[in-house]
Amino acid sequence: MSMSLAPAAMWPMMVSPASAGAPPRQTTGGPFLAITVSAEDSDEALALRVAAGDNRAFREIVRRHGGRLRALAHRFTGGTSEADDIVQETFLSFWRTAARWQPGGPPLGAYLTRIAVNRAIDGDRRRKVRRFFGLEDATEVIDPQAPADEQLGSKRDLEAVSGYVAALPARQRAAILLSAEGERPNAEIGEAMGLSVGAVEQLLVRARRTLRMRLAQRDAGREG
Amino acid sequence: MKIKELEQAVDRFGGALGRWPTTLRAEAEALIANDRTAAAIFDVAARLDGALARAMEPMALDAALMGRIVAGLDNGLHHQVAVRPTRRLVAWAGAAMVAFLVTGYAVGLALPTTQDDDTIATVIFGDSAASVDGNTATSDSGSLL
Repeated sequence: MSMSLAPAAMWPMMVSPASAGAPPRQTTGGPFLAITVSAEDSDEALALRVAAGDNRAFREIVRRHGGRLRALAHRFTGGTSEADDIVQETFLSFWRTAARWQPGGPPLGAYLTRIAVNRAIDGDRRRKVRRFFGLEDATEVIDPQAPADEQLGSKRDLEAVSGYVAALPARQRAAILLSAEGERPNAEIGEAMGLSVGAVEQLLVRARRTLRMRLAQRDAGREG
Repeated sequence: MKIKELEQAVDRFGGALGRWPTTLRAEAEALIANDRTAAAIFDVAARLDGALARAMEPMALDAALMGRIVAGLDNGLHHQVAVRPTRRLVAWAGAAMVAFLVTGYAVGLALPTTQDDDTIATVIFGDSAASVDGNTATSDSGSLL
């Protein structure tokens, strides 16, 4: 754990550019000492400090993992505004329950991913119920049909696949997105989703088949 | 390897041959090189992998979202232990529900199936409550008092 102790008088000079202008935050170390947050601090060290109520360590964790979780939530929800809700709820949930995370267990990133996936799937379930009772309109899934004479590019593939992913069942969606994130092993995906490796493999096979078939159909439509 | 087997392998291992088992990889390479359908299937799978990887590239965490998250801490969401139902709690609740149902069923079976007021009063209130001074506590109309 690489924490540096500094007199509280030096605190203003140690505010990082990312945190400038932020509201006053709680620090650990008592009235005379402030513990600074370094980019070199490990996730484990930061998580332990978050468990003790250190806001700055919390902000550093948000900075490290927020972008990744935002991409996951964004793709899971199909780019709706709900994605940022998921990210916010994930980190606030971590803030409340940081003491549950234990060093030596799953990495902090996997722990946060698990929270985010659970939030996303729960939100998806609630949204389906609301739609069933007519309390919410169905989200329009992007399904771009490019003109036949337009060359297929990676950007169009990305747009099309994003739309197809958003139409997958929630668990398949979560599994394929986690799999695509840094070629994550199935065991880790199972850990994040609370499923066995075999169940994850089945979800991935179904998801890949659906996405591959839809992409192939799209290509055939463009050629025909 | 046949086309069907290639499709199954593609769905299982994805569109990067480097992640495939060595034995399958050689067969797949041979099939892709000699069969246009196989090549097309593999091309789609590879593009799918590429699109998914790009989709999952980390997004920017702008100041607005960071501020929103931190504001959540300041808006009364103080550090606390969250109370959430665990699997164990759900299991216990389910077991208790089953136990109540079984007990209720057993009590229902044990009760006499009678419409006789005296018997019902005896079951509910005991012998002393069912009769007063040796007489059955019923009204003139015969209903239980």
